[in-house]
Amino acid sequence: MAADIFLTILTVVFALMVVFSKKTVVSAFALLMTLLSLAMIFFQLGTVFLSAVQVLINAGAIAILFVFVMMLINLEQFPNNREKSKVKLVISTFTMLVVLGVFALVINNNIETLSVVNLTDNSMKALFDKLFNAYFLPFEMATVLLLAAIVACIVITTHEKHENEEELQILKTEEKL
Amino acid sequence: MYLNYLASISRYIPELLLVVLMVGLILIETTYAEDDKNKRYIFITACVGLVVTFVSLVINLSGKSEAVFSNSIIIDPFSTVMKMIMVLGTLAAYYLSTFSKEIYETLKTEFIIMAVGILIGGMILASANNMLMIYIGIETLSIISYVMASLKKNDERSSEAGLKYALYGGISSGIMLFGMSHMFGVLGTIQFTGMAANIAKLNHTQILIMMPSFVLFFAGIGYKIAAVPFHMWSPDVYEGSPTPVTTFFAIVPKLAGISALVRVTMIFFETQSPLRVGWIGLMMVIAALTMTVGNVSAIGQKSVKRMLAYSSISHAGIMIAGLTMINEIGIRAIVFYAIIYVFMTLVAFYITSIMQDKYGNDHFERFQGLIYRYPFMAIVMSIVMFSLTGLPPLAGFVAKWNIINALLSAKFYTLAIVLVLNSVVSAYYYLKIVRLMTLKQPESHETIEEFSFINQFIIVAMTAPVIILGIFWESIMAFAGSAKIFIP
Repeated sequence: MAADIFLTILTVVFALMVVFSKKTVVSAFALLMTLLSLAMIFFQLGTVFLSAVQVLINAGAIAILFVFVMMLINLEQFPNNREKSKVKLVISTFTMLVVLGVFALVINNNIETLSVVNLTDNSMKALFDKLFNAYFLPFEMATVLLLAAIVACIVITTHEKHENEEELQILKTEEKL
Repeated sequence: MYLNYLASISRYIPELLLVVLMVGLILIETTYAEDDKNKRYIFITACVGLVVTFVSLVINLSGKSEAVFSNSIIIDPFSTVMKMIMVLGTLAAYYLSTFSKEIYETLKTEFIIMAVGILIGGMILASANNMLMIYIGIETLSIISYVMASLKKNDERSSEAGLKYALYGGISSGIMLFGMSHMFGVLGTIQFTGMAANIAKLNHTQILIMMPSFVLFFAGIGYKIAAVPFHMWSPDVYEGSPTPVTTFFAIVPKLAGISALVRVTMIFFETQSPLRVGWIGLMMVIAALTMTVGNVSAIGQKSVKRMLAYSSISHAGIMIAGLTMINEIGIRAIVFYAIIYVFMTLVAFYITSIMQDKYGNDHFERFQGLIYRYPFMAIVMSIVMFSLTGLPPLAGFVAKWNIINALLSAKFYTLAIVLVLNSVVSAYYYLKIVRLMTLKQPESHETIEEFSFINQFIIVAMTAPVIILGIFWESIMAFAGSAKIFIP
């Protein structure tokens, strides 16, 4: 129980850091930590697969993508428009009310079911039983698709220097003639 | 229970060979320096690999039909014959790419690697027995095709072709997935046989709900075949891509789509039901539209490649027309048509590619008076054009006559009349090339570079079936008739 509360507090703190941090990189890092601690909560609840997917996809791919985008564009040139306005106040109040309402509903109705945790989780086993039996071929063929797609990516991104040089040389020889 | 797929692998050797070939080509490519022009081992490996695949398909042909990999793949004579045609098409397109100037020297290896990837996708599609395999097959075909279409990177039209292909492809796969999810929601399984069994249990209202989802499902396959409401990408992509890529696109994805369509039709609609009536109606409308739009649009074209693109749309329409009767006579006609179509298309694109390399474009005027300058090329092109029109005694006539025969035996007179009228329309633009080549004076008397002996031999070898099968077609017809669909 203590671990649950600790993780929940950690998640909320990091989530607040995402919103209130002045530096964008810190925000992105806090987002990453939020997703990771959410994954830990999932793990704590016994849903191992959901937790693994959370780490792989949300933390591993999406948050890192945010950081990459920040590295690529120069954020200094954009003005920091965090001025207060009435619209923002109304929207944030409304959001807070909705969140509190959901929270109240959960506490009122399902507090018992939350405490019952299914620790004997068979979802991974069931999933991979399917993956390596009934859906073995689609799974393997997807890897073939990815391999061919890697080649295709290389083809489409490399620059063609040689052709241009050859054309230039042909032009030069024609000029000489 | 575990590892039961090991038994299936013995029937799946052709595809595995292709995977090994693809990986092997990637490895061999790394041993060459970047600017190495003469990559002989790549050529040898690719040719040997494709020929060995063809041989293993021939061996597979004699085995018994069965469903392998937990019913996700069906190995039957129909899919094997279609795969053989696709391998032949790939081999010919690859040979064309080795001497075409439109493929950059540095990208020739990538061409064959990606072509083998697409071929694997086509093979999956040809023998897919559940919706997941169909989707993976279509995606393997499509995603690599987008890059292949834009292989000529310094050319604006090629990049445009790739982008258009990607946009159309993404949208139509999305529509198809929507249809599939709808079908899964109603029928509760993705296996075709289970779905067909569940369709039989539906009541009338539920069948009405299923109809739109089949139409959505058709969108994905129809886009691969370039059937008419989904054909808009085809002329631009065919014109913008390098000619060897166009040759490849006109054969492998199209035939893969046709075979998937044939299998879906035979599994779901062979029994009498309101769905069958709706599907036959849809196929008839699509076939008539595809033929007519393809042929009518081909008339006004300036570029021969674009004309051939529209004509390949109309040929797809003719093959779909063979599907409307949903019986074995129709399947036999389609398989026979596919065999003949490959040879005709290959020769037409070979000649067009050579003209394109010579002049930098492939407009109709470039063919003027070809007979005076290079009789061999003009004669071969004329034979193929007569055959594409469907004039006896060439193979194109037999193929078309078969489809018409199948249509008449099912009493679909309207579609048969539409098909014959379309042949007349197509005669206009096919014979226009013949007229330009033989009756007009050449633009200049500059001689065209002679083919090497081996190229002449290959072109003759591809033209010979067009003539021979027009007269001695019984054995190939029996072969096509033996290509039966297996429904587990």
